[in-house]
Amino acid sequence: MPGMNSGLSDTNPILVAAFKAALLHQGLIVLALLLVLGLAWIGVREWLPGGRRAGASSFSAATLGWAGGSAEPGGRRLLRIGFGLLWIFDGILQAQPAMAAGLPAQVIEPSAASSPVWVQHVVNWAGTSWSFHPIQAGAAAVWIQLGIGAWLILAPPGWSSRLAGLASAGWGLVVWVFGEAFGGIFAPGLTFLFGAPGAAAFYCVAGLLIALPLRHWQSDRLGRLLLGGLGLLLAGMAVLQAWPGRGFWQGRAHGQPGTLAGMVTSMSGTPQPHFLSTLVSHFASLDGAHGFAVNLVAVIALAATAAALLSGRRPLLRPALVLLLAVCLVDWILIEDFGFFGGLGTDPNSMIPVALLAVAGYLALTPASAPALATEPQLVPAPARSGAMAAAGAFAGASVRALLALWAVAIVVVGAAPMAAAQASPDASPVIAQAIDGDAAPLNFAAPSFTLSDQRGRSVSLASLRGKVVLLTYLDPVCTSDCPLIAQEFRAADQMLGAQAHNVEMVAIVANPVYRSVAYTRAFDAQEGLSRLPNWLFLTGPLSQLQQAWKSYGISAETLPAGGMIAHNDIAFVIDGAGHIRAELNFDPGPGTASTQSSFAGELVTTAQQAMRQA
Amino acid sequence: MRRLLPPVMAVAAALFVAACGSKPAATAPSGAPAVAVLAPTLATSGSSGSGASWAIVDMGGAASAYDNFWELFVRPADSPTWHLATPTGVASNGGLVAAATGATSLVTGFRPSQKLTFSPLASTTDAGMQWSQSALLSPGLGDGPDALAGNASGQLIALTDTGDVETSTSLGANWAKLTTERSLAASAAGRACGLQALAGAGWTPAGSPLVAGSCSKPGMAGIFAYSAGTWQLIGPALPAALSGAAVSVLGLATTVSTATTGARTTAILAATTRAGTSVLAAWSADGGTDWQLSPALAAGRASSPSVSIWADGSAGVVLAPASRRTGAMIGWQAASWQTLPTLPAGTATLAIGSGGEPQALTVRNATMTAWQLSAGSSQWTLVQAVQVTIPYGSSG
Repeated sequence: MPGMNSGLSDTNPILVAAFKAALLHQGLIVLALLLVLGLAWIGVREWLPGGRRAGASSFSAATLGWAGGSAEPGGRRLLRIGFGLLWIFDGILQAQPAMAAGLPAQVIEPSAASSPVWVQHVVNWAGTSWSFHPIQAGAAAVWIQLGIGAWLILAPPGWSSRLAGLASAGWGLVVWVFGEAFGGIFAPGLTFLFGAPGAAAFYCVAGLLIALPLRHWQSDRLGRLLLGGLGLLLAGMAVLQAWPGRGFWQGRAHGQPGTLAGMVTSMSGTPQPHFLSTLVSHFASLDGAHGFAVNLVAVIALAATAAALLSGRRPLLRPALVLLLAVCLVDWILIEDFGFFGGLGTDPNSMIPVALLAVAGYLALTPASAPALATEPQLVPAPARSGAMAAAGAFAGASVRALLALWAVAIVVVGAAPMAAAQASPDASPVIAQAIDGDAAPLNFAAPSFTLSDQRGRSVSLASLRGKVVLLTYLDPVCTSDCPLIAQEFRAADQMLGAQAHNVEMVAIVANPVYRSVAYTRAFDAQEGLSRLPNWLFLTGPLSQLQQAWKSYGISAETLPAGGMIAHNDIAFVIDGAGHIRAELNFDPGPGTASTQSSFAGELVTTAQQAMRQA
Repeated sequence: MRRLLPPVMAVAAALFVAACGSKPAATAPSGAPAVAVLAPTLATSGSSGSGASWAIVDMGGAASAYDNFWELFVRPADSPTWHLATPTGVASNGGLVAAATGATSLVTGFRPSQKLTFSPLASTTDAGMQWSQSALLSPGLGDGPDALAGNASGQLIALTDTGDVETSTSLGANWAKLTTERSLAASAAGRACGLQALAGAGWTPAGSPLVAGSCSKPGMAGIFAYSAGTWQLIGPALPAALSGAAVSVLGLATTVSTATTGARTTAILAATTRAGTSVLAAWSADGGTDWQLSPALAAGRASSPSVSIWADGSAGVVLAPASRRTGAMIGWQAASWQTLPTLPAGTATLAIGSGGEPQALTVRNATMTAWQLSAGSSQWTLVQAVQVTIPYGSSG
């Protein structure tokens, strides 16, 4: 998928360090927010007279959804706490050091690889967005998931809790579409045993159930619908599992492992504890030897569970639930390999969510008693008071749990805000350039002089550019790969500088001893859209002058035989208005994918602005 | 009925998902043209009246496309051995096209590659010992061995990858657009053959531009000459047996007159029907007014042939597929094709040895090997192996 992969190693030390620093930084903000909220809560409680606070607790706390104490149906509580814990676990997995750089190529791209092109386009958009801002995106995923998890667990019943359910469903939808490529439902090889129709789809369903008003949990209708829906899904999955020609009936085919055995074998080969890989490997061998029997058991189990759930008969539901839980457990261990082992695991896959939904559905068949539900927060007319006082009263009347729920919302915002801000910029984060080539080396010495001709034939010397910051690089006008990428970074830097570009000259010196005429520099400018850039200079001259300009800046331009391109340094110098070199940037554009695009420009702009200040 | 509904819905849903998730069955293409137009590979060779030869082949053989490099070899007139003469300073991954402008003079153009969109040119006057930077061609050269042609006056004609035909009076300086594929197709000459695409360019002995392309009208050979401001369709008429064939021009060259022979124009045509492809040589000694056609050479289901036209108007073709490469040669106005013994494995193109013997140039990774067929022999003899230091990784 073009554009998604920055080409960087998952464990690139600069990206990993930046990711850790971002998590630490945002973690401190999260703790500070907790402290501020706590102090404010205590302060307001002390400041408000007891009567006002008491009145507030009966009105505003309920209004704001912060009041607790109502008896919550068991099924809903299970979903809320279960999926809350799952989100927190997922958030912790997202904090793996390699996640920031690795998720697009290791997780997102493979998930869509076998899907139709339109799915790949959708997923590629998200993957590229992530790759443009890997640190912000990686940290956002951590905090959003931790925040939603905490919000689900801590929010007392009321609209705050329902809102947490909606947030969970919304984020689950994002993960399902972009992270799981629609759960792979448009790809061949779809099977319930490996997580179809996508774990995040179950998070969505659970979130929507949590978001329902409590009155829907008062009858057994919700439970019947939920179990019926699960039954429908399992029936479909049983048909898919039994469908001839999809490779599930064969343990081996044409000397190769069958579909299921092949999937399990590849899972067993991923990094994980030895005992687990042995266990999974044994199951793969079993399926390889007895593929028909294994699939028959799977089909029967799915079909029997589906039939029982669809029948809606209570005597059948309990054994069906037990069977489903057993299938989920066995599948989770032996086939899904716990879901999160093997490289960059992002979640424990689908079996835990399925089990939670099934049990919640079963519990919902026995609705909560009416008296308990009657304690659902109701809007009670409040005594007349000013808006500020009402808010203060509500805040003071909030329980500790409600306060923590508010903090959980703040955690989501802490994660989402930097990513939203980053997304507003079309340019990739400069950290990608630093990850490819290292940090800029700060310098301060006089720049060697040169006098050459620009693309219009005018003589240009470094001294003639005094007073402006000079961004200097060396380009081969007939280069096929790196130089056009570097030129585009310079062009992007010029745009990013905006009005400041008037104080900057973008200068390239020809780095080709053979093809160095003005005709070639002009052709390169036209090719790269630089012809109309007023502060762009592509300098050339007699070979002796060029060689002097190479030597004085430590540039080599080696002619390779047999059709090789000129080998020269990819480098950029930042020269301040006084003619001093202030920074040297390694400018090897690396893989030159869309993900690295403009990241070097950002680095260039930052150092140019520093040079302006230094001058 | 209500009891039946859920299972029916479940099965329907499963069928839908199965349909979404299954690979579509392979189907036969519909609406495809009856026959495909044959296009030659860039691998080719040429020779000068002095006896020197040059050849262009693709080398490297690595998995990455940018680790394949097109190389130019030259065999001087007085030497039996080939040497590497690829001009330096530009990556040759996109392809090389050469045009002879004299006995030892050659202009080489680099086809666009990766982010390079124009074609740098290099020229030599000493058979590739030294190269000079020449002016460039923008847009870049088209994808064919005849995309660039020269004449003894130093004039160049080029076909660009956007379908423009450009001419230059002095080794690539001052290019001027002569026509475009679209405007030529719209002209009376273009409409007469239903010009589809241009494939190459050349010169008549008198110095008039020639272009070649494929026609939509069966049996028409798309060779056009530019004279007095208008284009004339001058391609030869094919034999009645091939009047229904789709014709493409695989090669077009005009050789320089020597003490013993006048200037000669040779075209290699491919006439493709549902039964297969026939290759014909067409010769003209008067710039295309009169043509003489060779017998048809049955080429079966040929694809990407290599075509070489040499200084005396003779020609050689290597016919794919690569697994069973066969080759044939034909002399100027000869009565029949000489089918060559099975070519050595990896034959990229045919060339002419110092004594005029047929040579097969084979490529395996970084080695170019010249095999020769001595007179009366039915065995190819290895005469030289050239190891090339392929600059792997330099273009990626």
